[in-house]
Amino acid sequence: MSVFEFPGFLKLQNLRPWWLKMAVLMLIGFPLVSNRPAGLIAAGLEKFLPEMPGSILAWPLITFFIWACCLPSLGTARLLDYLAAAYTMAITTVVSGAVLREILPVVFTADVSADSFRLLRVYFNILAVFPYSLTFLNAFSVSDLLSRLTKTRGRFRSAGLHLALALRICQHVGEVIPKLLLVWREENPDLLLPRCRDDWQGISPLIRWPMWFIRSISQWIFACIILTFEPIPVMVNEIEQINESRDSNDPH
Amino acid sequence: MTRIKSRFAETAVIAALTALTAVTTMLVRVPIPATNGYFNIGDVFIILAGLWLGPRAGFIAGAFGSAIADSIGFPVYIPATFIVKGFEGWITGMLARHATTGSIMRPGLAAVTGGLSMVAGYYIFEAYIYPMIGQHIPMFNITDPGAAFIALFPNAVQGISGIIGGLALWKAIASGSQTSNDNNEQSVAGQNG
Repeated sequence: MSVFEFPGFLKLQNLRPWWLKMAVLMLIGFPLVSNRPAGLIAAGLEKFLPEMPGSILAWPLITFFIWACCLPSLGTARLLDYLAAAYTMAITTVVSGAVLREILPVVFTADVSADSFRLLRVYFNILAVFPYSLTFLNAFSVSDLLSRLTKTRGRFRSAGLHLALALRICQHVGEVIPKLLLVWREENPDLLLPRCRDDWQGISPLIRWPMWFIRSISQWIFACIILTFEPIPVMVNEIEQINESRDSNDPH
Repeated sequence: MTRIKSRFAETAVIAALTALTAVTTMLVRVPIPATNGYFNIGDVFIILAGLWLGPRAGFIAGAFGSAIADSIGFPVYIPATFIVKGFEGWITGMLARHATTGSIMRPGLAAVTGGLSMVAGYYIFEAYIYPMIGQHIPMFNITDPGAAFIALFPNAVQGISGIIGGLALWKAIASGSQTSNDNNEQSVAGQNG
């Protein structure tokens, strides 16, 4: 995919030292964990635009800000991949919530409009948190951490190796999740036309439809598990080798 | 635009996208008192339909999906929505024809044009057309240019969210279709020796 390449100084992963990177990332993510920025923006907007609930604009503006911060680090193609997964997740969550509201009105407040506000907030939160958390994880390099650890001794080295492994696995899972839609399509190319399957001749629709449903879901879960867990032993092995090589080089 | 090989499958997908537009528009709507309208998240599927299956699908998903949603609770907006959202899907599909997943530029521009047309379309309806019709049919006398100006902001946010969501989902689906087609072609080639 031909995309615009952002200059290196805009990429969060290039920020040094690591604590400055961490501070900048936490500053960007602050509106996601605190109501204050959204509240301030909403109050400001309500003064400027009366008869308009400011929150409708405040949450999306925060989401757009987070996307804009993540874009140079991730690049257009990768950000769109993450957003595809985020949108799928957000729409599924919000629509399920809205359906539950219709089915179980007791669980929700009597005010439908307030519930819609809440659902919209959840929607934009998911859209912001998903790419932000993956940007956060990918901003730190495991190989840099490992090269630092090779120069370290004592208990910090073991803790550091565990941290490096955990970070690597989190990065890997983050890479797998956005590909779930692709996995679904690859595992179920006949998703839309299950009636045309040759091996289902003579089977009642009452049986074959639930069969198709269960099989497609189980195949998807199986593929997800394989994709997620398959490389973990290799990663663990690599870290163990680094650990052992250091141990063997130790003079005592 | 990524073609689905079977025409019946394409019809099924268009119907599904229309239903999804209606459901997402209908289920999560936040009222905007200024215009008696509401904020929703349905534009994602209109843009997706236009990018994925072309202008006809974009028009059907936008016009019918959104009008169905408006028919419950906001019937006065049905004519505006039918035209504006239908045009949004149609123009997106028209401009995104021959687009491939190789470049984001053409589908991106198509989606942005679709989103802008939605914002501009609602502004024209709310600021000029509805007040004009409202002079003869009181039911339509619900907005004025001032209220239409206020509604520009939530509509713009709704449009941006729809553009980015539609584009992201289109890229994921179109890439998936490409991979799936490649796999099928490889397996056919393998069977043929």
